[in-house]
Amino acid sequence: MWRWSLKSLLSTPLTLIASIGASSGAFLLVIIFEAVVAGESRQIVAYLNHAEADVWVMQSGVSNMHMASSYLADWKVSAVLDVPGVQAAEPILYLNTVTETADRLWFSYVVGLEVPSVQAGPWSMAAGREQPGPGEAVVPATFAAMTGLELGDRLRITNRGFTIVGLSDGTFSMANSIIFITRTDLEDIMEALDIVSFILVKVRPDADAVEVAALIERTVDDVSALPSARFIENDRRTAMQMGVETIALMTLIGGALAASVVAFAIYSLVVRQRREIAVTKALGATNRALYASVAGQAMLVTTAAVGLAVLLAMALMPPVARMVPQLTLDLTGAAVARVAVAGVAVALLAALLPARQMMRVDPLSAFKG
Amino acid sequence: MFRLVFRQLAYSPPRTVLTATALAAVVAVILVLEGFDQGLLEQSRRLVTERRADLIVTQAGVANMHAARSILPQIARRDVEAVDGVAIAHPLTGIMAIYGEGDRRTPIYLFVHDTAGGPRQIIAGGPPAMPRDITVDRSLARKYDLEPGDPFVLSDFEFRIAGITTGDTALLTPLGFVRFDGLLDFYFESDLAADISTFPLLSFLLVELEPDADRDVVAQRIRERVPAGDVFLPERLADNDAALASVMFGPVFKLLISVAWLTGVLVAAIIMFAAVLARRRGFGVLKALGFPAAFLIRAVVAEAVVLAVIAVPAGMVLAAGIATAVEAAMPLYLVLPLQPAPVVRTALGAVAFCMLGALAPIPLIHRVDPALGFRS
Repeated sequence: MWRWSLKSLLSTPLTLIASIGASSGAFLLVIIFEAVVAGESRQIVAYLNHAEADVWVMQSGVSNMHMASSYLADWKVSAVLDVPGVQAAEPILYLNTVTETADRLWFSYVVGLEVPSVQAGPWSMAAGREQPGPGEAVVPATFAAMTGLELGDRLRITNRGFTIVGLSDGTFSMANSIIFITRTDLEDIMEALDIVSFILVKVRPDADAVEVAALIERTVDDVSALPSARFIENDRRTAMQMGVETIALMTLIGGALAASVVAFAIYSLVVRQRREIAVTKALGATNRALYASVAGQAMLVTTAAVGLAVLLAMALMPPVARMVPQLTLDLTGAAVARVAVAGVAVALLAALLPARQMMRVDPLSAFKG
Repeated sequence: MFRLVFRQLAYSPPRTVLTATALAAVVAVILVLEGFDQGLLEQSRRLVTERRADLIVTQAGVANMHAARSILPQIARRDVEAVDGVAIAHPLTGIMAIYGEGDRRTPIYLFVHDTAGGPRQIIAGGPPAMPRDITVDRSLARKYDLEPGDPFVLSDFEFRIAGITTGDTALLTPLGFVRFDGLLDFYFESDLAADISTFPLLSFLLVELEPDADRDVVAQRIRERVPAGDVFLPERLADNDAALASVMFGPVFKLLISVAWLTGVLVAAIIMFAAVLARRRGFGVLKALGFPAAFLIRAVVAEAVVLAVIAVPAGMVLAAGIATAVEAAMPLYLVLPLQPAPVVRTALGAVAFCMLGALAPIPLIHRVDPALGFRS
């Protein structure tokens, strides 16, 4: 039976290729969306991953950075430095806002650095200086390329203009492009003095980050202190939660499209092979065996379609990344596994209609002229 | 030729229905993706227009309501209200916050209001009336199973849910509404109570004009009188927020819609290819009767166009159904699949990709042997 199923499927190779191609388009839709969410989630924590901090200290009740607000009195930097086990502590002031340049608006994280910054500045430079001075800004190189900005050009944050002195690498994403200015300039923008948002703490080599974080919370009033790994995980989860529902939705929509395409392909095959099916039935094949055969064919088409979609995604991602630099795409094994599982459901669903058609075939029709 | 096309389609109704359904599914997917994009823009606009102001004053240099930090000096309200033609300037503050329970966290945008700018479509409970009251959008309420009367803790400060609203989301972020008394309590209980000027106390002024006042004239007067602020017509500020949403999310949707179009061409190709393959014998008979291959190709292209004409309205109905289901299940999203421009674009595109797909079986038509029609 299985051999017959396979031979039936391969009897019209062009139809088979077209079916696989069309279904792979639907799966590609899901995979690309998964890649966008995974890429953005990775990029959202890029700053936290590269900042030199073992422990992050913030306003009590705050536990992540993405789209959060945190304010601490700046004397707490000294208080944190006095905690046993702390080797260094550097504050940043931080603001989510819209920046404007060359008539383009962009949502940005503006990080106010204590210059010269050792722990909190850009970690890789494409051009220019990594330490901004008063009235100066370091912007993502991708943002500069998109907007045609160059070193020496101007950028506006609220009503203040800044001169671009550096272009940083790896600091751009759809949800949080990072712009570095001095803390004093950001205080002016926020019209707030003597405050910081986060304190980046480096612990001594012989100290444990978890213990130091707990000690900071006990010693310094009204602060939250989290080991870096936990803080990064909180931010990643916040970002992912925004994308998870959308991924599920896209998987459902893409899966439904794939199901209708695979159903059409298998249905066409069944219609074309009515006589052969009638002969098979006349020879004693049961309806269950025939349904298994249809489901097997659907599974083969779907598996090939998922495989092709993955290959297409791998081939498309580098040129897409070049053409749309504001998107960060990341194809993960988990995403492929999720699409494969969805593919099994699609195959079984797609086999229902053709199977019904197949069961209606009258064995006697094999002997009619 | 069209008679032949209609007969072919009527010959096997289940096949025609399945074919049209597959094409309609592609059309629906494209319309739903377009609908997400349009919905995001509309939500961003509504954030501003639902505040129902004649003019909106922001901090000088701030041209957005959402995602931007705007701080106006307290004195700005008095200065704006002193302008000829202004009836009243309602204060409004916007702040970002993170709501969390356990490992789950959701960014929310808090509107702090007094006499205007509060929630409009309340589906349970009421607007915030007491200092610790908060009214939140139903997307957040559903996600965390919140009801009126439940506690709602933000940065260690406990609010109480006064009501649930609908349609108050923007940039994939639910909105919350509190009163100024609540904001002050929230600030005073924090670490920085000694220097409350650190916090944004006044972000925007929602300006209500005298009945006979001219908006442009009053806007110019405010600009001259209040240099610390910028004045916007609400529709202009709404366009700015929509532009921000478009810049942030536009590339993702463009990419997904492009992939959906590619899928559409492939689906149309397989459908037309399968249709011709199934009717090879019929095409053989027609060739034997003297119909040239060019006629048969035109018939196949015409069949593809007819299928597209059936699939577009079916796809629109399907997309509207999907949009309704998505909004019911996930109220964070607004899906507008039937906006005129995307519908026209998709309809024309569907005809195009069906015609393109009809080119796939051309080699097969050329290869059909007229004798095939007479073999047993």
